[in-house]
Amino acid sequence: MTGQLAPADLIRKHFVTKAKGDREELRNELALDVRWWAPASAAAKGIVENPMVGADRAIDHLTVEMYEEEGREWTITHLLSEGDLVAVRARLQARVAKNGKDYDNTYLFLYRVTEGRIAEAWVEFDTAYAFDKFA
Amino acid sequence: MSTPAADEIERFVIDHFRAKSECDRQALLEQFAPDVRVWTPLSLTNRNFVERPTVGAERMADLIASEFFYTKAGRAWTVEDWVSDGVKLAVRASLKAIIAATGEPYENSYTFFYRLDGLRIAESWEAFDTAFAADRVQPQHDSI
Repeated sequence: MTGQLAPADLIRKHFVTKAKGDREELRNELALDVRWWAPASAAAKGIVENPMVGADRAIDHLTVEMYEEEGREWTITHLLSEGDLVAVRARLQARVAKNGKDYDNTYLFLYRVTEGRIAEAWVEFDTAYAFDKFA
Repeated sequence: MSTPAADEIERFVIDHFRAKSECDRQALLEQFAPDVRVWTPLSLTNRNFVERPTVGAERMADLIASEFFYTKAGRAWTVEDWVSDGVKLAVRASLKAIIAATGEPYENSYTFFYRLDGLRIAESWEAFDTAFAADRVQPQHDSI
């Protein structure tokens, strides 16, 4: 149980957890009914539904669907928190799971934290770069 | 320079996105620091949309207040969420507009991360669905 970490601390921990692909710890960090909003074109391509709903679905997405676990590295460059919202700018360096291509992209996340867990997340990233790598 | 209070930041956010919607060049020049640096997504620079970083309030005002991407009429930004500590500011917003090159409607979601210098944007990073934008928008370089 994550308990009642401050929202900023929860999100810092979450980036370590998702880099490791630790499903049990992710389960402690996500609300059971978490809603995860991705860019519209990712949904249009069938990569994700928009929103993804539920911790189990989000955990699959965060751990095994997109990028190889080995060598996956998230680096937070900015983090900003006030009230129940946390904004993060972060860099992901990894290899694409389906083709092994090197991947290096920057993300902006906004999280809403409720009772020590991520209740909602919005993610924006350079999808044109990403889709080139996923192809 | 003192750190702005929360109510000042809120007014700034509302007015900045109003200025972007209304192509208010004078307000934009006041809201961006003269030497602002704006980091747009890399793939759009590779597609010759804009230089990276985009430097200077004048350049930003030219890009936003012209029909470089969208027509001036029918442009509407909606702020969905914002969070700030007075030095950094993140805004999640959506844009409805008309694409200048084609006249087609455009709707996309954006997240901006700003470094503030008082009530001015000193540095900005933005992320959005670039694949969606790149398939539809063509920059009008002769509009400035």
